[in-house]
Amino acid sequence: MTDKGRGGVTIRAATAADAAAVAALIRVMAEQFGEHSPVTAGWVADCLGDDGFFAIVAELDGDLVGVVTFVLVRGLFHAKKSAVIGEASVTPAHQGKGLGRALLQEAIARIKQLEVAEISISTGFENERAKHLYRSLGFVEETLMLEQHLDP
Amino acid sequence: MSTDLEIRDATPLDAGALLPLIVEMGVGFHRPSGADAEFVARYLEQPGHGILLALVDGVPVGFLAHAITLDLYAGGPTGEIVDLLVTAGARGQGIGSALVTEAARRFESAGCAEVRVVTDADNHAARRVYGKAGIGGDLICLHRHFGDDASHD
Repeated sequence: MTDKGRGGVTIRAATAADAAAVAALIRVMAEQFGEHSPVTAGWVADCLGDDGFFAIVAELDGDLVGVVTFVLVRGLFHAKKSAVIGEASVTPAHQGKGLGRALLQEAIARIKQLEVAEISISTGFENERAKHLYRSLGFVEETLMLEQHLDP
Repeated sequence: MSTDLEIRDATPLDAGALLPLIVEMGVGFHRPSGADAEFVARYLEQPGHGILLALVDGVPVGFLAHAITLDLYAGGPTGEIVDLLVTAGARGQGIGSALVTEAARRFESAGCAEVRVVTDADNHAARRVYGKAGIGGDLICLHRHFGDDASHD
């Protein structure tokens, strides 16, 4: 457990006991963007139990107020694996306090220990706040992330 | 589309056919690839990972590397198109679209909630191929490199 001392906020790895709270955080993030996420506590628990999935959370007074997740992906071009940051979210009431940066710095530190070739993170084209944060953390090369939602 | 097009799963025995294509992909990236036969085998042995190999008249002309990864937001597994290449002499024949269509079919069969791919903004040919398959959107992806891409871990 790593205490960053940001107003009593603890930055630490998520555990299975965090599944419901992490799912709630993801749903709040979706609502912020006018979207709906079908994430469930069960799906979060499944992901947390996978060796290739990692989640870092920010905890304040027993409540989770932020989360960053990443997975490791092997490609055919890079000899080393790549890390893909999936979620980076802080609850609206705790934004603007440096928690997003602290969570990402902790994730990047852990990813570096895994000796990956690169890290990537995506956001909306118009999310200037997120892009500014990511660029300040060394994310400089820009590409497009294309998606298609399926109906499983 | 060529009527003689065959798309099948690659095996470690296809490394000899895949390596020249991976080298060609490196030329497009302006970076050499350090891939070798062991590297291809290591990719294929990972759960949820695979490579579709496209052949015309038995000659390898392209491949699509795919993987199933975990994403909380999607609420289920995500199908990633990791790498896609059609060799320069075989482009414009629908081979890329055929590879993407087959990959999407497999992702759907595997219960994936979404399909994702990262591509360069100026790679208009790739964007056309993905767009035809219904893969699009308005997300920007930012990367931080750690170097030593071509070395083996």
